[in-house]
Amino acid sequence: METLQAIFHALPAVLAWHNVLAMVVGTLAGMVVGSLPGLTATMAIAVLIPLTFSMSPLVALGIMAGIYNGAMYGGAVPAILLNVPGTPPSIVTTFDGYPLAKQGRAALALKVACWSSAIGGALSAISLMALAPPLVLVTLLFGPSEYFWLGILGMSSIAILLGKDPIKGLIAAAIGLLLGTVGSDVVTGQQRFTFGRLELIDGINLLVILTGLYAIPPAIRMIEKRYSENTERIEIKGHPDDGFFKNFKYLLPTWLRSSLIGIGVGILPATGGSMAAFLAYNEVRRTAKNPELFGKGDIRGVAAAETGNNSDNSAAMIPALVLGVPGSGVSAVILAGLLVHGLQPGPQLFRDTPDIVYGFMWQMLFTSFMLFALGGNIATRLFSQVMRLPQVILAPMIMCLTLVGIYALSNDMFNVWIMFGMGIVGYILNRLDFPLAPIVLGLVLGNMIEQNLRLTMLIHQGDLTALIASPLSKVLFGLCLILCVVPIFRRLRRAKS
Amino acid sequence: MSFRIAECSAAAGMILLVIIGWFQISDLPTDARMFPAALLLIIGILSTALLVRGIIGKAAHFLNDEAKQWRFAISGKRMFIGFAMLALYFLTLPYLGFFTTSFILIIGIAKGAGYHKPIPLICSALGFCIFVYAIFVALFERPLPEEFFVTLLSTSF
Amino acid sequence: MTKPRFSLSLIAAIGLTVLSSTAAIAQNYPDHAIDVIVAFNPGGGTDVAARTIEPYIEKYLGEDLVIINKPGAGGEVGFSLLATGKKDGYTMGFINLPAMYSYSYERDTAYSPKSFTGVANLVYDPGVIVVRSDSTLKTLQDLVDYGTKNPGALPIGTSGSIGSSEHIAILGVEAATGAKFNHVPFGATAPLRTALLGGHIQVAAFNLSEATEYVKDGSMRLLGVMSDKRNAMSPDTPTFREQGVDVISGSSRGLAVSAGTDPKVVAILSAAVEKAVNDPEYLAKAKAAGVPVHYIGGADYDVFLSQVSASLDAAWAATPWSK
Repeated sequence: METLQAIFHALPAVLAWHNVLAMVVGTLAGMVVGSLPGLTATMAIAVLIPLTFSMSPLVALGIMAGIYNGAMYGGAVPAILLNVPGTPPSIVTTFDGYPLAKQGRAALALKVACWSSAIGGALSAISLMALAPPLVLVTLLFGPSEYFWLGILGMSSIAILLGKDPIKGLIAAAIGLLLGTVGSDVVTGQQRFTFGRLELIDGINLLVILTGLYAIPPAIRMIEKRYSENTERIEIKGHPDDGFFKNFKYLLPTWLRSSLIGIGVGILPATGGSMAAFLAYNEVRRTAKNPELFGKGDIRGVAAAETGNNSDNSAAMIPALVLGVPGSGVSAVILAGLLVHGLQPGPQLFRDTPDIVYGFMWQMLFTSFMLFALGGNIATRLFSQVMRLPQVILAPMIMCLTLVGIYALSNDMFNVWIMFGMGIVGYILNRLDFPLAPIVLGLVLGNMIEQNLRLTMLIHQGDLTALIASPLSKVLFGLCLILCVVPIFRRLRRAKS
Repeated sequence: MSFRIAECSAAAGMILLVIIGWFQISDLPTDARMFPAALLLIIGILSTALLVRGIIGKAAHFLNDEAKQWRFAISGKRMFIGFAMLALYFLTLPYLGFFTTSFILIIGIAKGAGYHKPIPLICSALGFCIFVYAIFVALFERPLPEEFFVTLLSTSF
Repeated sequence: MTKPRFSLSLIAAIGLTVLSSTAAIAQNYPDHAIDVIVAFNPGGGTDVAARTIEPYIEKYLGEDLVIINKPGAGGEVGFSLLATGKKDGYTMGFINLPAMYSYSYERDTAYSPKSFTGVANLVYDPGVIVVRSDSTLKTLQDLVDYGTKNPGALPIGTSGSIGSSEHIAILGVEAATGAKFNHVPFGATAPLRTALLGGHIQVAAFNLSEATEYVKDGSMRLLGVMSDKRNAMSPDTPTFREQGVDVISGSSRGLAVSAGTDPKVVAILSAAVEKAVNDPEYLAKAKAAGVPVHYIGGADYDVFLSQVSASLDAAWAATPWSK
């Protein structure tokens, strides 16, 4: 009861006009930032922190909440229109979003992405408000062995990413995992694959690889055709069947399922939105009556991906606010933003400054709703203008944008050249029908799997049974078995018949 | 180049990289080496499978008819020029500055690809530069390589 | 929203520049903006600390500071840039000790402890060993006894990697007492702290400021602080030395310039930082954010730097932690 009172006590301040304005500005900025390949919410919030010194904490947090939610949706826009994910999680959005766009249903895909982002974000914010302290207990159940199994669980969704030729899919996954080992090994301090370069000791940033693999090859493909030969164009035109209520019933199960997965993944630090999107997509596809439609332009695929990654948002703030343990890169910089305003995360945050904590939660909720208003028609109209540019002009613009984002990571050209190399690799792999998504998945999860396996082994001095010692790790192990073995079994049965 | 040859060369290339990688990590202590070594082994084995499959002629099995019309690039020459221009862009950018080089790149590529309407072209290139300036430099204060012309003007001034 | 502040500070900066130049300081230093290298990502701990103090240093120096993030190799990229940078006083950088020095033992670095001249230390955060509050280990002595009777059996998590200040401190405890522990590097404080709270690891070593809130709310217990005297943040916790284990360790963060910079310039910078650190507004902010501010300036800082370097030399000679 006391909590409920505290929650509503925070509401009026959030609705003050300057706070509402901050949320609108933040959401719009987030959408723009998210839609540019190479620039993410993490970077946007990090560079905004010093600018928020002079603002009141709620205004600053309102902007951050807006950027966070806006960017997660913004990433879907280039994913759908150009097959270039704007943020790491929106790779999953490309699976069905781009085929939809090619079928002339880009407007529908954009709308579904918008609704799904809003719904995922809102449900996640509600869970943050209602359940933050108890949900943290779940976070604490996870130790190294549990994280190891969680990583394996994430890798199991690879089965659907393998593409037509499983050998190539597996090679791609191994390449991703291998790229994740570049840098200094935490446990021994040894350098792996750094070739004596200082810049590689911290590993290769995911964004560098993502942008190289996904943004450069399509840009090159676009300019391989002369302007006059280039007739292909993505049109963003509405369709009478695109209404929210017309699709509501069809998408509702997907929204609920994906939100639950996203929230679950969110409260576990060290996983993040990409894993939420991958797992949600995998699960929705697995349980669908007609899984063969996925990957060819099923709106449920877009809905699963976008709901998954946006419902990770607020949930990731739960361990961040309650324990001071950020669940993702973005929540880490939001924590830094809180610190700048003298708000130290941890149990005392809820005790000492409830109006700000719960105010922030309201802002996460309101900015999710704002996606409905700002993301729907306004964004669609804006982006249809951009898409009217001829591809031969759009392509060099994409190239320039990748440079800005990647250059800004460390203010030098080293990462830019790695991205260029990745662009060549991506082009070759793409042409040879290697799927690229397993590379990114491997990169996201590789460190988590290896490090937690080795930490478990170190703590228990090489005792392998420690991996399934706790009840939770047994459950996760069982889940991994089901998710990995069942698809193989099904495939075999299908092959027989 | 047929799909089969392309696939075989990629597989061979990967096997070569695996061997190089194997030597790279050969002097690491066992526990740091274990994971990357296992991965290299997996890539090596699978690439070998790919290579063998290609040699005995089953490579294009999964593409069926697509494989027959398969070409590595829509236009090999243009692909090569595209990558070369991108490399040139990255090379000159630290010296000439972001906006100057980007402006040249956009106009150069569009012209090269046969787009000959000067006014829309210059407008979109300018619009792009203004957009990037507004978002990255003015709003987010991201430092970009300094403009050669601006430095030149300000120092002579 | 930010515009008024910007123009105000600009006017203030111009005004102060005029003032300081009329005060006839040698070479009119500073007469343009000073680059400050932060060797970590935007939004990281060092970056936030840097951006928090930046306006206060600007206020007393009368010149703009431009923060440049140069992340990479745990800070080594940025430290190297600082060491090899210009010696005109317009390039300054944040240094993190002992991490910055300890890299030199593990690999060839482009700098040595002699490559830097300290401007001022800002933060000092002593190392601690913590357990969950329900642990059977009540004192440091219990821990040492356990480690002596069961050598290598007790895992102790540290927030860094091999060669972090916590790792070296544990090596120090082992050398001082003859106990043996099982070192488990978690790589960062956040996952380690959750693992400790969740009971996945029993003992952990990290920095005091990262533990105080959890000690206050009763979920963790401090076994000791690795500083020479008790710390104001937790005055009831005995030091290691009091408990008979002579280990002093902690991480510190300060400002430095490349060695060879004009001492007068360093003195000007140092004075501005001292005023900034004592600005009540800054102190209030730092306290709220739980930053353990600890100013050491001028010659004292040089002494401090050489002490850190000497103790690392000693630790390396006793037990090299990496090959």
